Amino acid sequence: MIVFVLLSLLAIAGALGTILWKNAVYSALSLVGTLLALACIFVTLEAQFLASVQVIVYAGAIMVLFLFVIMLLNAQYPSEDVDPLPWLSPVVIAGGVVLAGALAYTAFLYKAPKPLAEAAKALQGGAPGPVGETLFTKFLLPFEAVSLLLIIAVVGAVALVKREPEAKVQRETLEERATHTPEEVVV
Amino acid sequence: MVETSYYIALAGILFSIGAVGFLMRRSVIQMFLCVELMLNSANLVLVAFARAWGNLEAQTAVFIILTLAAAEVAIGLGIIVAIFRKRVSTNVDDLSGLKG
Amino acid sequence: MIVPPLLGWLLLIAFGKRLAEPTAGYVASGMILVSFIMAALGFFGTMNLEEGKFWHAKLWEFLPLTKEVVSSSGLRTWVDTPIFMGFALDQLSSLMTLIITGIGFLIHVFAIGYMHGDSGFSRFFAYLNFFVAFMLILVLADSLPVLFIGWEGVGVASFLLIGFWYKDFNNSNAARKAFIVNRIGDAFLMLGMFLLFKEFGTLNFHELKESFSSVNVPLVGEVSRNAVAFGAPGLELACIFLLLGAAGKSAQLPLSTWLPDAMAGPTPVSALIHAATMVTAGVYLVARNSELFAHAPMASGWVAWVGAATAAYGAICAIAQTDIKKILAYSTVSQLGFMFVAVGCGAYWAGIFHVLTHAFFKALLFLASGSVIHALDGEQDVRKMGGLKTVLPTTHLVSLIGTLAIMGVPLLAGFFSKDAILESVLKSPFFDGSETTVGAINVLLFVVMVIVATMTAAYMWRWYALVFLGNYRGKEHPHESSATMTMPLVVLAVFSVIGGYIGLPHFLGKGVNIIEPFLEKVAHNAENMTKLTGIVEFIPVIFSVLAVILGYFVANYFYKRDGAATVAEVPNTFGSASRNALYLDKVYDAVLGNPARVAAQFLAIVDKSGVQGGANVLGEQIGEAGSSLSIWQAGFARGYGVAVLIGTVALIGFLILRGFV
Repeated sequence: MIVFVLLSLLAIAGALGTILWKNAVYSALSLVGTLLALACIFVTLEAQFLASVQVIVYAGAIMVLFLFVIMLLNAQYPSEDVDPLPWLSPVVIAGGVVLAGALAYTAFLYKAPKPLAEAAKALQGGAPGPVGETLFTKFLLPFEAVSLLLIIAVVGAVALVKREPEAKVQRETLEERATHTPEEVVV
Repeated sequence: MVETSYYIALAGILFSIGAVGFLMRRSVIQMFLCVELMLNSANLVLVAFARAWGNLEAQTAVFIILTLAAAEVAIGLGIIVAIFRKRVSTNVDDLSGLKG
Repeated sequence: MIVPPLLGWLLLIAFGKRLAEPTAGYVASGMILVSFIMAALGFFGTMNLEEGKFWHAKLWEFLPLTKEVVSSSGLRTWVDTPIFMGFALDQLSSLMTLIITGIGFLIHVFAIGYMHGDSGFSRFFAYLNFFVAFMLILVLADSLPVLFIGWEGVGVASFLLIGFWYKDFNNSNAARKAFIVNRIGDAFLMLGMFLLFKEFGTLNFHELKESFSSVNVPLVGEVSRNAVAFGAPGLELACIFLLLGAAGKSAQLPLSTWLPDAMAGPTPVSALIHAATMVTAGVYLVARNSELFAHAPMASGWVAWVGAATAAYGAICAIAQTDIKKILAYSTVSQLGFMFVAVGCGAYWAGIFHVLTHAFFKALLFLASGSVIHALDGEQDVRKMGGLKTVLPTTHLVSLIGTLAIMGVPLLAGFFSKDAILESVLKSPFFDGSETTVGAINVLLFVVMVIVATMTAAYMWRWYALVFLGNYRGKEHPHESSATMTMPLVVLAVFSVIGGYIGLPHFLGKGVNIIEPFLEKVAHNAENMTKLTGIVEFIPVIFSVLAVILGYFVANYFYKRDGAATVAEVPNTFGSASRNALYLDKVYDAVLGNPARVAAQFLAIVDKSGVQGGANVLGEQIGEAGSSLSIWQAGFARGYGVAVLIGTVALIGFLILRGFV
């Protein structure tokens, strides 16, 4: 129980950090903290394989991609202009608190279908072997579908980020460039 | 062993934080981070239920969701980069061109 | 059977750009032909199958589901009730596959000629193959979720094909409208599925049927006996949801508005999807779940009345149209109404029979109008046609056959199926009729349907007369279509003549009706049908013949009168051109009277086609409504998100307070 409380406090702290930091880099790093805490919670939930995948794929690959894009776009700082919807924050926070309360309340209405210890044993610790067995028998079709989805995502990402054909871009001549001050050239 | 309810409650709290953040933050990237947070809380519920039922199917589903998240992030960040090129901004409120 | 068109679609999508123009059409048609041969084999196989037997292919577990069961002692157990990806071939579905692949093949061949020279030639055939594949999934599915896959697939195909010429904004708008209206129906279909699963613990058609037939067999998921009782509330509600789902796909009121707009697609598409196959999916859905509907008299009554209202609505609108395809579109709406009346009255075979005959003659009429449009280089206004009898001899002949068939002229296909429907209306047990006497409500419904049949005859004869009789009023030089286009027309015309003989009326003796016992094996007629005896037995026939004659004279009377008059705006140019607006007013005044005309105008305006010639009124009205609502749409995504959040919180709060969680 102590472990759970500590880990969940860590996860919640990370989550709050994600939404409260003004700097996007800090936000992303806080989220990494939450994800790591969740990975540890997965271990306590008899899901070892998922815990490791969570660390490798989520906290590793996906978050690195995030940080990379933040750095690339130089987008870590929030914009300074006035919020056009000033009434929104209090409403959202109130709604969020009610939602959290309601969800937590419903959570405690849940009645376990069978004794926990008995059920947990059946999971075999969520090792890669048993998980893989389910994945490649009962979930074979979703598995293949997801592989297709990944290909589509790769193609889609390339198509989205691909630049317009060069011809449309007005290239600066060297003469023009020479007349600008360096600050003007930087877009 | 910690009861399943506590895990679900934790997931609910994380989900709410994610939802609040999604609506409060104005940077598209931070909103996206919050979406990931909500997705993870859903994963947590699935894993918790997997233990409650003693059934690995939910864990397998989480594995598939992880893959899905990877695909989603690739596309989502691609869209953000594309928008950034056009608008030089990651603020959602600048993207209000759909107004009636 | 599904594989060939799917293969054709993949081929054409992948290599579409490399296939030269006619090749793509040949590939696509060839695939459908293979399917058709398989469907024909399957059909002959099922002919000899016994009642309740069918060929079943369970492929893999599709949705792993678990249902909680609380026994009387309060013990909670869980029963696995997975839904399998499976296909079943029985009499009903084999007949449908025959319609889909047979008519599909003819239309593919026709389209080779019709789409000649179009830049999206291979794309067009790829979509067509895609459609056929999903339509086959729809009719071969062994459970509702699998049917739903096909259901959505044909929706997508319909969307793609209506908006095929997507460069024109109107076309893509029409496609979007069709898609969105269909979504409303789909939402209800899903609700119906949820409710059925809750009540029955299964969504497999066969198991659903079993739940009713055998009292002693333990039901799947321990369904309580109450759920399957005659007229149980849950069952009634589920059936009404299914009806609304079917209404979306089959363009029944109030979801009928998309079909006329769907005519923006190429004509072969209108013929295949929006006349012969896809729009009949709703009728198929009801017939497939006949056992459910037979035990839900209230829902069945609703089916019948919705059908009757739609039939009347379609017929009223069809009289007013000036677009050659829109007349046929409204006529389709009206005929679909007829089918719904049949299945709503418990005569499921009659509904499917009408699906069959309607598929023949309506596909024929659409393709014929496609041939006319092709001949006139895209002219669709019937006011600018006329006199094409001599120029397009083949098209004229087949159109005449099609028109007579849909009017219900005796001895043609439409006569027999329409007669069967009218008879079923009198016999239906879902109203106040008993086994021996015909109920008053049945008679009322019968009268409505006879009036609609009369209007059918009237507007179809008007269509024929305006296009083919009189003098030519257009400027283009018409030319007869090529053989690939006329051949399918001739084949369809032959079937429009002989197609009805599988369902001869009962009074001709026992055993003359082939289709009824064939379909009875799957979809029983409702029990306690009124038995018609003596002279009453002949009433449907007599009235349907009278309706044809009356309709013919009404149409001819007004046509002749206008044919002789000159056009006010363009005097002496085309002496025999009809004064269109005046003509419509006259028909409305004479046939329906003033109040009905107001109603018709209102309906026509709602349907944005209108008496005044199809102004975009609906769009404007929606636009206005949209502007007034646009205060809510500030464009800030976060604003919408908050609305979602508030809604979620409210919903969860409600559920908690009501103790549902």
